[in-house]
This record gives sequence, C-alpha cells and structure tokens, in this order.
Amino acid sequence: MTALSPTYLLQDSRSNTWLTLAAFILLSLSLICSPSVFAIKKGVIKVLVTNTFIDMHTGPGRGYPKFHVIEKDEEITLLFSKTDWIKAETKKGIKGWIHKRDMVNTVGVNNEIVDLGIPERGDFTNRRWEIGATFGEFENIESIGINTAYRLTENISLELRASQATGRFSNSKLYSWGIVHQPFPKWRLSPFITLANGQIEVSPNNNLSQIQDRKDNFFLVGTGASFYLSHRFFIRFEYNDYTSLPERNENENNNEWKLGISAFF
Amino acid sequence: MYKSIIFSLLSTCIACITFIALPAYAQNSNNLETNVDDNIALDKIITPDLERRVIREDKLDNEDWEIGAYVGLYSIEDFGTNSVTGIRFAYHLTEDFVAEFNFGQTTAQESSIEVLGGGIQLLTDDQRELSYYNISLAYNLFQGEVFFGENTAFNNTFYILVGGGNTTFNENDYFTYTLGGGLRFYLTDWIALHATVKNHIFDNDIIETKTTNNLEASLGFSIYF
Repeated sequence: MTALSPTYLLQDSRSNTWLTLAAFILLSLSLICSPSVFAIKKGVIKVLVTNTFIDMHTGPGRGYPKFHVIEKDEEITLLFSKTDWIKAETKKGIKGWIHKRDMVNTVGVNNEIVDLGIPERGDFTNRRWEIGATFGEFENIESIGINTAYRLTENISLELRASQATGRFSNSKLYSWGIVHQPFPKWRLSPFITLANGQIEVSPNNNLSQIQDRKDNFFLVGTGASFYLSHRFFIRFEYNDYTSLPERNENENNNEWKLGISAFF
Repeated sequence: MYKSIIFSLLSTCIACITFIALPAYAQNSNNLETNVDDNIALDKIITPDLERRVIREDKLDNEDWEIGAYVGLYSIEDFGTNSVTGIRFAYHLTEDFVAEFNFGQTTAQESSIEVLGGGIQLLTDDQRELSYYNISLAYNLFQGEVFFGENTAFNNTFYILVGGGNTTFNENDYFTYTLGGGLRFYLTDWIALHATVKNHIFDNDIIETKTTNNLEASLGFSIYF
C-alpha cells in the first residue's frame, strides 16, 4: 500500500476525505468566481478572414449547428481554443466556434502570419514532452500504467514509467527510468528500443497468498513501436524483459507487454 | 633565370584571374543590389513589412484540461450501496475523445450474510473502505444542445467510456475494468455538469471467487482550464 495507490494518503479517516473535498470545492468555487482565470488567461488574437467565408458553430464540435457565416476581410477576435476549435467573436459581438482548419490562410490585422497549426507528424520531432497511459500484462497479470518522456535529441528520450499489475495473489508496483532510442523517428510506424532500470514492489494480495513483501531492483530491456494516429497522438506497443536483481542469489526474469496511447507536447 | 619566368607567369595568371573575376563579381553584386532594390520596391507596393511577424497559437489559452469532483452512489456487489465521492481529471484529446483519470472512495455496508447470520463478520471496519482509480477513454457519442426558455441554449454531450484501473477493497487490490456512460452539460464554456453511470468490474473472493459488477451513479461538476 504505497505511492501508486492514493488511498494510502486518504484512507486514515473519512473526515479527511471530506475535508479535502470541501477544500477542493471551495478552491474551485473561488476560481469560478474569478472567471478571468479560466476565460482569458493569455490574450486574444485579432485576425482578418482571408477565406471566402468561415462557418461559425454553436459548439466546439462538427455536429453543432452553423449559425453564422463570417465573410472575407472581416476582422474577428480569437478568444481561446478547445481541441481543434477556436472561440471567436465578430466585430458585432457574435460569439461562436470555428474550426482551426478554416483558419489556415488567416492573417493578423497587421498582416502577421497566424500559426494555428493542428499538430502534425512532422511536429513530433520538434516537441519535447510525451505523456501516455498504457494497458498490458505483466507476467500474465493485467497492468495499467503511465509514462512520460523528455526528448533529448531527435532519436533519444529519457523516460519515466510507473505501473501497477494486480493479480489474484500478488500486487506489483513497478517504477522505472531509462532511455528510449528511436532510430527512425520520422517514420509513421517507428520502432524503438528501451533500456531502463527501476524498482518492483511486490506485496501479497490475498490472505492465503504465499507471497511475501519484497522490493527488488530490476534491469529492463524492451522493444516496441509507436504508430502516429493524428494530431499529437500515437499508439505504442512494447514488449519488455525484466531481469530482477534480488538480494537472494538467483536472478528472476519477467516479461511484459503493453499497449498505450501517448501525446506529445 | 627560370625563377623570374615562373614569377612573371604566375603574376600574369593572377592578373588574368583578377581581371576576369572582378567584373563577374561586380556584376553579381550589382545583380544582388538591383534584386534587393526591386524587392523593396515591390514590397512597398504589396506588403508594408519585410519580416512578417508570426502569431503563434500559444498566445491563445486552451481549455483542453478539466478538473472536477463528483458525489453519488456506489453499489458494491453483496455489500450494499453507499455514498461515493471522487475527483476527476480529464484531457480532451480531440473533439471526439477524452482521456480521464478518476479517483473515488466509498464504504461497504453489511452483506446479507452478516445481517442475517447472527454475529458473522466478514470484513473489519478497515476492510470495508473501498477506493478506486481508473484511467479511461471516453468517446463523445452524441453532441447536442438543450434549450432553456427562448434565448438560452446549453451545449451537452452524451459520452461512453471504457477504462482500466485498480480497486482497493478488503485491504486487497483488484484490477478493475470500467464501462460507463454519461452526460456532460456545459453551463458555460469552462464549467460543466456531469451525470455519469459506471460499472466497475473486478474479481474477488470475499464470499466466493467470482466477477463482481459494481455500479456507480454520480453527479459532478468540472472546470476547464
């Protein structure tokens, strides 16, 4: 019952939970009461429409009805974005959502280039951070995990991972850090190799379980591939081989596969 | 003797090269200058700025992240129904997909066998505490609007979700699949109300070894930032 499970922090008493929740709600309410914090944190962009027209939708989704058409050369103010949509206001004060795709040719009021790019595969190598979640099996036990990586060069990233595999008899928590090498980062299906080391915490998960609490260091060799989907997202599949280095004399080998979705920023 | 011949030959060569090369260089630089002049002249007509500034999207705030809390009812199979409280973080991947992290907590009631069994105690008080976390992927199935009066419309989305995570109950951990659906109702662009129903599916062996379906219904709100 350690780090990965937040229960550890909260389970002592339920009053604590309620306090936390109350504090959270109060904080949220105070933030709602100052909408500027959420509404316009950074700034607005004034642009001129260069397309023949742009449709304005009532919501940030393709299904929401179009209720207004912005004409060419009209000046609009971009307020904020949500996924691929931008909330915009016309000079007459009509507010609605427009798709970034419709803004490709738009220029600023002083003829600036407006780069509202929807992230593409080409951007992958320019972005530094990657965050993802994975689902898989560690020694045939279902596991769930998260990972984050920082790109050092085009080919090499530093990666941190945490995962939990909960089986009938044992509960394993794995933390690792290592290096991921992608020889062909520009390929859509891009293979990679991982070298990492970390720690595994195993605890019994059943009153009848024979397993004893233990903490072992391990060394990990893995391989896999990531496949670019669209925007900033890709799926990744990997297979890892763990060599535990227990204090007992014999080494132990474990294997794991994972399927995940990741995003780069 | 031959030294002076070589010297004069070399000087001639250098002189020739200089004479051939200089006009070419001068011509080139002339060309460059005229080109630049032409460009400036054209630019003056077409664009006032030589270097166009670039406005990047970073200047705009995005509202792709969501933080929220919820309360509801959680029915633990064989152990009654009790209130549940939880928190939610979400990231809107695209207009269709949302990645969610949920953490919730509830307490088990007494099972029938404990109520009727006269003193049988299956779980201690600590073991009755149940908490879970999961990472889910939600898909916005139906997007729409609801109308309030004549002039007000609210956006809403019906979504389905699937995920995996962990449940801590009976002081043990259980890998848990989560299936569910819900309605996200936007009060404004940055506040949403949620009504969600989820099934948390996990195997346990408290009464017998079996797969349990644990239904949760909750109401909550979230803030976009």
